[in-house]
Amino acid sequence: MDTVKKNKQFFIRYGNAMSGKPKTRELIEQYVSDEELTQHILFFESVFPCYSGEIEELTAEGNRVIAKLKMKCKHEGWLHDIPPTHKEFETTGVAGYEIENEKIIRTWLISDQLNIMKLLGLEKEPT
Amino acid sequence: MSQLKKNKAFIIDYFNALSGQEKTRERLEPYVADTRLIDYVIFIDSVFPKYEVYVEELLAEDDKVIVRVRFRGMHKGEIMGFPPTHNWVEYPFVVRYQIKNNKIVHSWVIADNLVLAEAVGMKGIPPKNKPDTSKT
Repeated sequence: MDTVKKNKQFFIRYGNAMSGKPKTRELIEQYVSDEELTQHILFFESVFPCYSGEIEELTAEGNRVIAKLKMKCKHEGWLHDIPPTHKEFETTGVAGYEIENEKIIRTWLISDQLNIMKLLGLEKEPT
Repeated sequence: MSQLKKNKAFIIDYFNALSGQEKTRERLEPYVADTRLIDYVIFIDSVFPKYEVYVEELLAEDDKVIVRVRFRGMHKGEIMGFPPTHNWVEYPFVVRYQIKNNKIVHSWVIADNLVLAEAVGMKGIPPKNKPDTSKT
């Protein structure tokens, strides 16, 4: 099987293992060797426990995978200065991953945080 | 040249043709058959005239090309209710193009609009005091 197919399959296994489940360091480290990503997941898990991510689109080339993800979250923890609103929401983001030996070694994420603020009822109007 | 390489080269040509230039319908139509994308690019160019786009990452698979982009433009038109600030704005976005017969036929964009909104004048959320649980 070529690298692109292997990496896509690895990414789908990773998504299935994490989505909708408690994300502990032990679970994350089975798939991730990028400490920054591990910290990011643990932080979001503390704010949005058991958040889920559905893969809407997956593009791969070489050792890289880019995923468009639909995230389902419930806001149960402090998000920086924002107290829990207990609101549920869905949002779409895009994440890029570099994979080596069935581990994620580097990542980036772009999501519309303004949309998340709107969904949580925290948007500030123009003044 | 493989189709993947052709599609990547096509998107790089498209970016080079548009970045730093006025984005008119005439300049877009040789590359784009998706009218929603044409209208969107023309609108963004009315807010940030001659905005620049820099490719940071580019992947291709089948008839799709996905690009991570850094945007740079001066805020000279109204957007999201915010009047022009004449500030330089930089923010990241991801765009995925579907290409058929050397034309973009479909696309989607995901951007961090919070970065954009703050750059054009939106004030952040006033901080609330997080309860101090260290003493309990």
